[in-house]
Amino acid sequence: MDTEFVAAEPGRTPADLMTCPASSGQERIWLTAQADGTSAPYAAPFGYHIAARVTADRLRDAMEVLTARHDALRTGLHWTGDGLAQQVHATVRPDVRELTCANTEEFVAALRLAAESPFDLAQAPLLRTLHAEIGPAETAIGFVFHHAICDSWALELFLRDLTTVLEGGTPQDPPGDHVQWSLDERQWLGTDEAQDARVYWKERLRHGAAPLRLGRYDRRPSRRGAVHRFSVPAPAVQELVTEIAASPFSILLAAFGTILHRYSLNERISIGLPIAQRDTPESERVLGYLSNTIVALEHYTEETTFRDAVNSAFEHVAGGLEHGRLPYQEMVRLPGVRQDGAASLYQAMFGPQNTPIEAAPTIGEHVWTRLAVHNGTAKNELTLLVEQKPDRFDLELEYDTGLFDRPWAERLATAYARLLASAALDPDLPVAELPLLTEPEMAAAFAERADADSYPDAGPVHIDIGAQAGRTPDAVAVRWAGERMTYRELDHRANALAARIAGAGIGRGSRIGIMLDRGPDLICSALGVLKAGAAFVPLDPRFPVARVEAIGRDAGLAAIVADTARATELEAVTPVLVPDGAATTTAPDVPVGPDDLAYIYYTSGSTGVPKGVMIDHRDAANRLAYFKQDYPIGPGSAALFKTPLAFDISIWEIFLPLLGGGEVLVAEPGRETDPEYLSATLRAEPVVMVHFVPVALEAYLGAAQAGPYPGLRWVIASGEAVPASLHRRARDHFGCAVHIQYGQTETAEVTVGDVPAVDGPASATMLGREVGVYSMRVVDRALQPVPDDVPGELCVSGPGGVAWGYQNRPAITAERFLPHPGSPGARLYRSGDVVRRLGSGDFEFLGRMDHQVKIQGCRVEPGEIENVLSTHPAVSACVVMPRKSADRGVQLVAYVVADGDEPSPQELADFAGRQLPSYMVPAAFVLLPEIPRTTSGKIARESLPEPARQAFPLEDELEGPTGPVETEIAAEWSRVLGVQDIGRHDDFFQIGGTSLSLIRVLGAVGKRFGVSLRVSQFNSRPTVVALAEAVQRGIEELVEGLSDQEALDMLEALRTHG
Amino acid sequence: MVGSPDWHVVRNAEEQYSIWRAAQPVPAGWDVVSTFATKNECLDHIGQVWTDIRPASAR
Repeated sequence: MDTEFVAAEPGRTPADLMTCPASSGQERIWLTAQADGTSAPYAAPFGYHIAARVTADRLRDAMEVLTARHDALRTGLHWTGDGLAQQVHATVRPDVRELTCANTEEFVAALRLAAESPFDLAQAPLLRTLHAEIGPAETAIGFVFHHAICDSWALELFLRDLTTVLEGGTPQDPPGDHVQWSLDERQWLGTDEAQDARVYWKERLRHGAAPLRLGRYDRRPSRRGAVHRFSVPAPAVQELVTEIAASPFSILLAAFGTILHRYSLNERISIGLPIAQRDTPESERVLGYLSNTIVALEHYTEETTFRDAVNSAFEHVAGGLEHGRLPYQEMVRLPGVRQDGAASLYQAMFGPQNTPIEAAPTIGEHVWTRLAVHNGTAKNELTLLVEQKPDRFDLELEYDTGLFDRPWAERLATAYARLLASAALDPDLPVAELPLLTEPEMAAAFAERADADSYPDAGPVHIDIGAQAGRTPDAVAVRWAGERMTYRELDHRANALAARIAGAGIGRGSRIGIMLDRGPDLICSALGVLKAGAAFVPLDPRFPVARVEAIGRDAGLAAIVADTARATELEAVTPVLVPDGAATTTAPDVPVGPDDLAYIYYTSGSTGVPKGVMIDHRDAANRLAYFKQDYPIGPGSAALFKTPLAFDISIWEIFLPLLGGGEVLVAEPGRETDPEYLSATLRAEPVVMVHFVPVALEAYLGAAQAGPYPGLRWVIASGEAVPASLHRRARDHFGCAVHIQYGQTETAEVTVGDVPAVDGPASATMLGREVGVYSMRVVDRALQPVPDDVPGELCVSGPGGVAWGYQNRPAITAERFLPHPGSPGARLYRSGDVVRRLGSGDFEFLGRMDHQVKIQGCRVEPGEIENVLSTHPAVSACVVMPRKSADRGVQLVAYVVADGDEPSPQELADFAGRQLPSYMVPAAFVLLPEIPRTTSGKIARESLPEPARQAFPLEDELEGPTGPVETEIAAEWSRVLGVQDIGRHDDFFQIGGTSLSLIRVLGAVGKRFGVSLRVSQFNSRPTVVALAEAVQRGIEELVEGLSDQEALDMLEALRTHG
Repeated sequence: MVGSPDWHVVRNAEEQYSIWRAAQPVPAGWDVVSTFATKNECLDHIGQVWTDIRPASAR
């Protein structure tokens, strides 16, 4: 039925219809349905079991009476093209459905089905009534209310009236007038009180709300949902009530905010709170949706205690209620409040359960027993509803099943209950330190993994390689530049160097630098140093002498093995041993055991001063034994040695093949990043295993020709975060196993991901699972293990797998290597990496503790942004890092290496903006010919330049619409908003648009181009460009369904119009 | 640090040093050698007394 929308005055048409503007609550629910593309989440089912016979006719008669009594049951919502109207019909037939059900389960299933089928909001009644006689004296009755006409108060009112009528009585008070209430609400908006409320909310929400981004945060909420019900015992809450002098509601709300803070690490947590708008006796009698949603925006700092959080929650609730008449839609429009385009101010909601608070309804002596039924949808990403019972609080956690699964919700519920219990024990503990696990659970988390490996037979690496040489003396051990060396030669040359070292008076426990280019001498020297009982210290040939001097002093180098060219300048530092090719059959008799030091790796610390990580033979042997077990390389097979010795990946590139009788294939110095050379080598040589740092892998995949790698078995990527997308591409390209390894120099490889993770967001960095001797746990800052899904610092342990510490640095060693609560006398390595363990057992990398970036109160992981930018076709590599800017605080800068045509900063910003929330879009994009690297191939962050002016997207300059579609859209915006000079990147909401006016624009534009546009199509900011793209997509879809001639005709028609 | 102002300097049988919050039970295999008000005082102390990073069994 089409009816003209008429102004604000209610008009009773002569026939049977009264039309009036919708209430703000109706408008909100209708808008949400438009944005989601479904009205289903707001269809609320309620079911009851009655141990008595109530016939369908009796119920129908009662429904006739109630429908006549309450306007709401005769109301539909109608979009006039210009605004939303409520239409109250004079008469409406109640929708009563008689079902045949054998039992309550069948009835609940039918009720759920009825709730799942969408309502047409224009069609009254927005209530479905279900009836079934499930036994001679047993009846099931159910209702599906659309929220546009009902809230929890109204449900109670409805049930009271219904039972009265069913019992043959007549409801006493006259019903409240919803239309009048709506008009009063509208009038109120012009009052001083409304103005005060605007001031209050503008101040309260001035920092804007932070999106939650939990679970599969790369997806849009599906609005499909499920419910997990759980209880918390009353005593824990009661203790807090007494201790903090707060209401249970404030406490449970604060606990919800706190758990979301712990899960997201966001400093700001916003939670929507539904509140009833019934402050007059008249409004208490209105059947209708008289609720508003207010927002509690909590700020958490490192010091926030649970007591603080509760007090603040109380203030939010009290202040919010006082100013709660301001409709949510008005709050959203306040300047500075909305951060992220069309996004809501909250993704989580907290409130009382939608159940009658008073006694259960009865007919005669028969009590109506509530049947648990959920409509299979989720109004928010997470909704926590609470109901107080004498001995407990019943909680209902509704979660979006597109973002979360049931085990996740169950774990969140457990963590929530635990948080309350911990807070009751000590409400003055900072919330970051509230235990989320019980003591036995923490003890279990600290215990070593039951399925960890141990390698009791692994000896010091040079001894095991010596034994291999004895077994296969004539096999090829090393190949380089067309030459080869047998195991015998390798062993004998190492013996000769060991003898020289011993002869120079350098003994067991000494340290010797190795500063050689990649080649056979380097391999012989490393083995020779170990045979002499010394530890080697890798020195990159590109190191300046000053750095060699600094390391030499710190490590106490007794000598450096270097070639003739470097000998002269190095002799000023230490004695130099130049490899001379000599060979002897025996080595000096120096006993070397697992407790002896094998090597010291110098890594750049955060202060820039290198720290020497001391690894003993036990640790080195366990590491290699793990590799040998999982990556066996035997005779005739090779690993490619292409990593500098100063990067500890080279340890396995060199020693792993030699432990199994295989070959070390030395990549030609200087050509290790040349894709042509690499591709030829990997395809023609018997290489079974090769390593890439992620950027090198990215570059290689970009350049290498497609085609098979017949011998290759394992491609290893490690050293930096590897995005899942890169993992997938590498698997496709190589056609063999691609393993993501993760570890630290202080331990070794501690996790491996062998398949691209499926349960994490595509833009996430997944680490896989623990391997070798290692066990990992995620801890809070008080070193207490946290549950799965909760971010924390990664702590690693493993018998015989942890470094001694840092050379000459007792204090920092003591800080990083902590007593291990799960293994007497052992130590844990505190990695400084923020990770979380997912339910699958896989770990997700979230960033470094010391690089935690917070933008607008949200935790930002630059790696995630890098992962997104990398998928732009014109980007071959990129790095995102935060930089302090003089006037704008911390901002993100993206450094981009273009692949072909250079993309503009604006284009990259738009690209990122389509997939990420606006606060994660870098402020500047710097194009670089290549990413600067350290000698070990990692990113040299300190060498990245400050962004120049041209790196910033042209946000200040107006870029007008281009093409007929954009021009048409901009013209429509101008008409609706009364704003001239619309830029193609302007955000509709930031230049005065509202959700309603957006629907108006979409309607007009859609009509103009013959396509259907919905708010739900807009993931990100609605800009002219985004709308034009949506129109384009719509047209393409249309054209696909047409014959060629029809398509040509349509295009012609569009051309003549455009 | 709020909640636990005291820190222990602890040492194991390998004569390796570390630190531990006084409010939490010290893990087995570690002895408290001294206690300070702050973590940094502990670390400064360790910087003085732990002169050989090698574990005792490797000396």
